[in-house]
Amino acid sequence: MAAPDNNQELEARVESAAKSGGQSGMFFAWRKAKEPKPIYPKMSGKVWLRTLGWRHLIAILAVIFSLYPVMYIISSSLSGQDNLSAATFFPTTFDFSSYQVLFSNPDLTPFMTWLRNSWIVSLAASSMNVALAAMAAFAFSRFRFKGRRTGLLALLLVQIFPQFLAFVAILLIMIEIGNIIPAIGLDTLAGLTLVYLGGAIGFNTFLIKGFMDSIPDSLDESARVDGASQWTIFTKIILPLARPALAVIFIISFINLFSEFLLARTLLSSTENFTFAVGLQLFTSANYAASWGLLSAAAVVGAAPIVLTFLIAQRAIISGLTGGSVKG
Amino acid sequence: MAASLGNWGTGFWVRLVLLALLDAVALWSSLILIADGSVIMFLGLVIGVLFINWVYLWPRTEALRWITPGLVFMTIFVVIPIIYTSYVSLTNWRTGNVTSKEQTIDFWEAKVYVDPEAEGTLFDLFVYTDDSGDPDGFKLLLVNEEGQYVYGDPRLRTETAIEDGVEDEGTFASGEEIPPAEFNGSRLLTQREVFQLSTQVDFKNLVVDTDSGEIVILGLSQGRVVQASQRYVYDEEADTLIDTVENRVCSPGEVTATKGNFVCDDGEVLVPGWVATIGLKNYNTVATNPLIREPFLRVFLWNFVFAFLSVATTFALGLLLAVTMHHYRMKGLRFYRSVFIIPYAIPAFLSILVWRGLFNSSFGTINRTLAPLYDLLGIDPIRWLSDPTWAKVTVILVNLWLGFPYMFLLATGALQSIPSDILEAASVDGATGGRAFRKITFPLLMVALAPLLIGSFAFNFNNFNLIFLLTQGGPPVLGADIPVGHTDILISFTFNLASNAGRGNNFGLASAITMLIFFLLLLISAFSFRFTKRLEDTYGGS
Repeated sequence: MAAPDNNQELEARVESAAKSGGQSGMFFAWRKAKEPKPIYPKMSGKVWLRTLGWRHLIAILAVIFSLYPVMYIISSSLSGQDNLSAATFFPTTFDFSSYQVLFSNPDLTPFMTWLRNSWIVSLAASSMNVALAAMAAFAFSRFRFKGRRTGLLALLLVQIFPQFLAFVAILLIMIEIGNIIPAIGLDTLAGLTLVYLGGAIGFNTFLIKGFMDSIPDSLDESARVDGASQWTIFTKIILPLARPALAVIFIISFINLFSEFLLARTLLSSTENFTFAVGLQLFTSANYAASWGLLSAAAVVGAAPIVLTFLIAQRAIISGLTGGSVKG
Repeated sequence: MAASLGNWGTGFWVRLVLLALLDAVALWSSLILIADGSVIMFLGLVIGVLFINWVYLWPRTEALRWITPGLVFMTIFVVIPIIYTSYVSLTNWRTGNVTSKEQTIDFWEAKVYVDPEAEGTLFDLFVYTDDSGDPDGFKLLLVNEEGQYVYGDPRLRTETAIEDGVEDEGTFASGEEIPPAEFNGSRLLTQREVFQLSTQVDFKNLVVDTDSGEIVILGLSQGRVVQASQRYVYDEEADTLIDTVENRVCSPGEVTATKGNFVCDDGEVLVPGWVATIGLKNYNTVATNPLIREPFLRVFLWNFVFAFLSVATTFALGLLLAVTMHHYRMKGLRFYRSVFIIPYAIPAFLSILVWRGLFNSSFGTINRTLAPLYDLLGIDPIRWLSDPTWAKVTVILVNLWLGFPYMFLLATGALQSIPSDILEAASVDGATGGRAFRKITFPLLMVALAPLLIGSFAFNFNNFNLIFLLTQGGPPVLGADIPVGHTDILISFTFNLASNAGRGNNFGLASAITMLIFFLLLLISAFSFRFTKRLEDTYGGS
């Protein structure tokens, strides 16, 4: 382990090591904010083909690869047919009957209830998660106290192990908790939310701390001179400045929880409590070929808001994902 | 740092109210825990709550006040589960061994013995419901030949006797309809409904207590008064169960195989037993039992191959695209990037479920698209999901689709962060094109990306969603002693062990394998640590 004075380097390395599908200390921006467009001489057709044409060709092949399943689900969801073998690449009809079934929230397969459950649980857990992580990050960033370094290292050590791996133990713990307070025990959305809430706190704390470190101390100092309390400094200075990073971490946490399957499948057992992932998995495992239109419509409805969020906020999310804005 | 007991602002009162609420809930919970006899949980709760009170009431705990809320949840739902997993891995916790020893003894002591010789009065059985929808909301009416009846709540034989189980007793007048369609406000169930109820309620284990003894239910239509006796008696001093019927003594198993169960002196093992620690037996089983070791090794090996190929294929494609698009005159980058991000943006479980449909070998679009090719080559359509080898290919292909956008974004970012003067200097020295890429660009990329690639390896190492939603680990390996498939990775294998209802849950063994995964992750992290350090020493200037 590095020498104690080598703090920053150590943290950067520990952070990279801590997996999580990857955030690093690497900085990059997609494109500089406003650069004047250089004017290049025109290319002849041959030169264009040799320098740029093949690049576009590869890119277009990749576009087809990316959109292949997307096109199929969009057109099957509009085909009005549940037959898997009827799926086509481009929509041939615009029949919304699959969507009607979906929105009618059938008793046995209440898609809308599942979707709502997923949204509620993911929103509640990721927002509280980010709030608690931001508080802890504030302490690690702004206070000097005994055990600070040890605490940061412990956070990262714990986060090497993804929470869901311990699903057996979490199940047994939730059974016990349910014996005492049934409202937050097994097979409750509140219980699942609490479990999720604990999940990524360590890693998010670390990320947010990195960002807060980049906010100059002098801001707090002058506020403190004016008599501001820690709470005021936190809510009035640090949080507003950290908002972009917090938003990205919130979105990424949300999406991770929205897709979470293992814990939800282990902890939830009654149909009306399922999340979208659990409900759809059970629905589809019954019979693929016969419920294709419905599954497609469900996939479109489930994915659309998230894909839109991604496309709108892509620059911020990308730099968050790859470490830029988060590390600062 | 002003905030402390001396500060009587709003913050202090908010804190005090929240603490009071927490303490009230904690007090109430601890009473239940004491009643249940859960000593460890009780102690944990007390220590945790005292800690929280200390943090928020003691003056000089400034930093901890900010950390504690997150710390509490992280402790309960991440740290304790990890520790608890290691405990469970040392136990025999599985179907048949899920309760405490006291509960097991209670279970056996509640077992009654019914002497087949001593027959009592026979009753006809009718079932009534209050239509409350509660599965326990039914009552039994028992009528004997003379029209005498007993009406009341049954109990399971394993439960302790209920005092006021009989709601009504009497005799039907001759000529009265037996059974009445309605009785004491409850409705007679049709035979069909009774049959349905019998799928949820074990009728043969029901008993109705009356003053003159127990009426034991014999099936869906009859019950009999019997003199039932307690079969097993627990001798506390000797810690043995004495079987009064077969005159044998059953004592707790000594060897690891029978630990957690009573073993009678004629060799019979009484199931259910209780949760007992059995040391390293689960680890031993994985290492030595050939029927478990073979599937485990298969899964273990494939897990590494899968994680490696996942990273290699996604990184190769992502890098190829990034390099292709990295040209100062390339147009439409924003469009391409927006399209490439879509596979990444769609929640993975949705796209995996969709891919599973597309890969369906008889109806899926992929095989329909490839049909002309199959005809041309004169081969059978590929069974993407049910052929052991092709299923592995499918898993990697789907993962390629899911994972290449992330790699593309990473590689693009890293490419842009390479200072152009380095490449210019290289071209002056005569290194251009492929050579410059191999000697300069690629090594620099690896320095920046290696930790992220290892992170991606660790992520894919446990990519449960992909495997479980796409193939459910299948196709199954035939002839294995435990449920295992050709595409199973350790975590999906563990999930099957823990939750496969058909063959019972084996929490102990599942936890042992989870501990192995933990250990492997530690190794991967340690490796990442050293590897990135070496790369930086070699290439990183700063």
